[in-house]
Amino acid sequence: MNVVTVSKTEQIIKDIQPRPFGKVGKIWLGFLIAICIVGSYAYYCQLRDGLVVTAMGDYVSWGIYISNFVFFVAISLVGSLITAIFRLANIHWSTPITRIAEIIAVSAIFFASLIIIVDMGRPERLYNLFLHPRLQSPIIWDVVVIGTYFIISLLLLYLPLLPDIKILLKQSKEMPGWMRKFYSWLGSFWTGSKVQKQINNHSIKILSIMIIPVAFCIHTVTSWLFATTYRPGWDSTNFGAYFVSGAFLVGAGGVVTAMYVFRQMYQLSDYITDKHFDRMGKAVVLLAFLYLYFNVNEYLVPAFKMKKPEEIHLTELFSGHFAPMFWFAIIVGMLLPIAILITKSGRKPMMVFIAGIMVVVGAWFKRYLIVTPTLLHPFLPMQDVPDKFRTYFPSWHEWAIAFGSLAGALLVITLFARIFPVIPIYETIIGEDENEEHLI
Amino acid sequence: MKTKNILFNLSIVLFFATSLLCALHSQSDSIAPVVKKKAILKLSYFSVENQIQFLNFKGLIKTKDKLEPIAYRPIHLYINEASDEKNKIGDFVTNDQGRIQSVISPVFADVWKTNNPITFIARLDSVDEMGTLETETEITKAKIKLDTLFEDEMRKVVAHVYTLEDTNWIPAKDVEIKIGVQRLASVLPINKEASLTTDSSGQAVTEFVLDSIPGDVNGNIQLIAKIEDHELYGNLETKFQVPWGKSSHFVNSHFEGRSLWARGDRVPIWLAFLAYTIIFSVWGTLIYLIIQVLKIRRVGLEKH
Repeated sequence: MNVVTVSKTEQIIKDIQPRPFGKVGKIWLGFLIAICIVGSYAYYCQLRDGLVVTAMGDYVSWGIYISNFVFFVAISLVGSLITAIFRLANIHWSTPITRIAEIIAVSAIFFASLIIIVDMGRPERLYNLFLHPRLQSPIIWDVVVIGTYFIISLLLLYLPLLPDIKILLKQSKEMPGWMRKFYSWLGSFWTGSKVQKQINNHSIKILSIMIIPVAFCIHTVTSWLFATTYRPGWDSTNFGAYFVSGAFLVGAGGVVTAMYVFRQMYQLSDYITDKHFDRMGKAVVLLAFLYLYFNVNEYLVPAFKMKKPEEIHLTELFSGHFAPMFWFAIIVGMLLPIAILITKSGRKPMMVFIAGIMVVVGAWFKRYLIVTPTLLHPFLPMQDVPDKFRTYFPSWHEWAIAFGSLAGALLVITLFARIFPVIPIYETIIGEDENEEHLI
Repeated sequence: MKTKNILFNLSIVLFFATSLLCALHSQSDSIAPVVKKKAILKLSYFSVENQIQFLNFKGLIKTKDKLEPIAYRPIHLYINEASDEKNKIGDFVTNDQGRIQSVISPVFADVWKTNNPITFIARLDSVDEMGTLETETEITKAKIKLDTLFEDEMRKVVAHVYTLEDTNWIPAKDVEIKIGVQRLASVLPINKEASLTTDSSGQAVTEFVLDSIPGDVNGNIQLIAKIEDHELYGNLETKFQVPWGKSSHFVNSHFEGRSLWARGDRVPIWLAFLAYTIIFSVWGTLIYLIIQVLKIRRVGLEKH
């Protein structure tokens, strides 16, 4: 067993504790805020003028808002993968990245909820969904599951944070007053007593168990929003598993990207080591193969039968209007990351970061391809409709809102990293030495 | 001989020149054929229940072998005189089928009351190379009154057509009128007579031979009388409700029962049980965990 000295502990705290933004951090923050402001203005225009400002119409009634929603839901699943599954499986090497995963999960699920409201023509009528719920509708299942997942993720973020807050409060002389007050409000009551630890560990264990089925539900139910509709491209019994596997992949891609950024920005290479990238790289390869398997299922089976409406849809994807985007999503989102990460030299931090970005960008386009082409290929032919109904390209309002929401999610993650440690301090110290009594 | 040769050569040159000119002319025809276009404009007047008056416009352009709608073009409708802007009913844009429809606003009540016959004018600003196009329709005010009669143990429908002359409504004779029963998407004739013509008293009588025709819950059906595209009166229709149908009892059991496609309060028991069990179990656990957080807080504060 390693014996951790007080100086070593102090070093860990010093290394991990949140720091004020540097020049790059401030530019990044300003950039995100600017995009959010443009997105908010676009949403103001949409509220003022209605959904007419979007390019959505009678056929494509779900555009990039819903693609974005599915993307956010997918990426939020990472919280359950890293935090819960690894924790329950006693995989200790994942400790430094659990909080990163949980931050991504909370911000993504929060913006998933927001983007659904953005897609509503009359958001002020949202309360009717709760006053007059229709339990038969997958939409109400989704609302319930998203709300539940958000609360679980928030608790799973908060409970392991309590010991860290106490440690940070001890360093309060070096931090701004508002931060000290905020920490005090959040966790000054944590004394680290045996009873508190017992309750905390017990609660985290319950949450870790509970979040797995809820996480599977959230993405399965989201897939059912599509699969319970009889349309080419959506009419599939495979959709739940297809969505869940894709969500794990994009979530893992998101985590490796964030790992690299935090490691570089906060000089955390002693904590987020090459080994973490190597192992997460392997996980990404496994998940990419899994998602590829479901993709083959999803396209091969209908392509083998080639029913007429499916034929039109698949031809558009494989060699038609959507082909460049489709092959981009497959090659950049799955095949290239596999090719990069399958070798040991490819699992170096920088390469893993590049592969992670590829996975995330490919995943966003994949969600767009799940939503839009199907809506443009209804079973009944489009007749006597204006030409603009036959195509869909998002308006600037939609782009601004979509990018605004993505920037918003990144802003939440950035601000969280400013206020809280991105690596659990307490668990890291415990990992070094179980005898932590002298600390708290 | 020399003169003959000159004449011969001249005639040959003339022949070739003429042929060339003809060929060029025919070629120029084939390169840019002059396509004659003809506008077909129709402005129709409608009066429903002797109360609601509206106008329908349809515009088409006929080329050599095609008939195309005058789509998405500005059009102005006028009452009585197109020269006075006060008489403008409104500015419109034709739809993809070259049609527009407009009610006659109550603003024109005075013009409507003081004029008979009355003229409606439709003017299109600029249609391709055809310039401004205009059409008009003149109508004499008329109305239909529907009634029923039980005579010789037969149900009969009586339609009276009146036309306005000065300030008096007088019977309109020799007007072709159709009488039927209004169904969902069309009019069902009530006997074999396709149409009737009013007599000198402006009346047309016909037998109602339909029995066991489905009506509403109380057996009511809507009789309808129509005058279509009359040169003087335009299009008129009026309805009259009679209890001559068979009472219909709608089977709602499919919609009233509990099913996946029913409304919210008709959720299947198994689904409600399953859903609420999951929701209450999960949220029960969450509430327990929130209580645990409060317990951690309480324990901490007690120790302080």
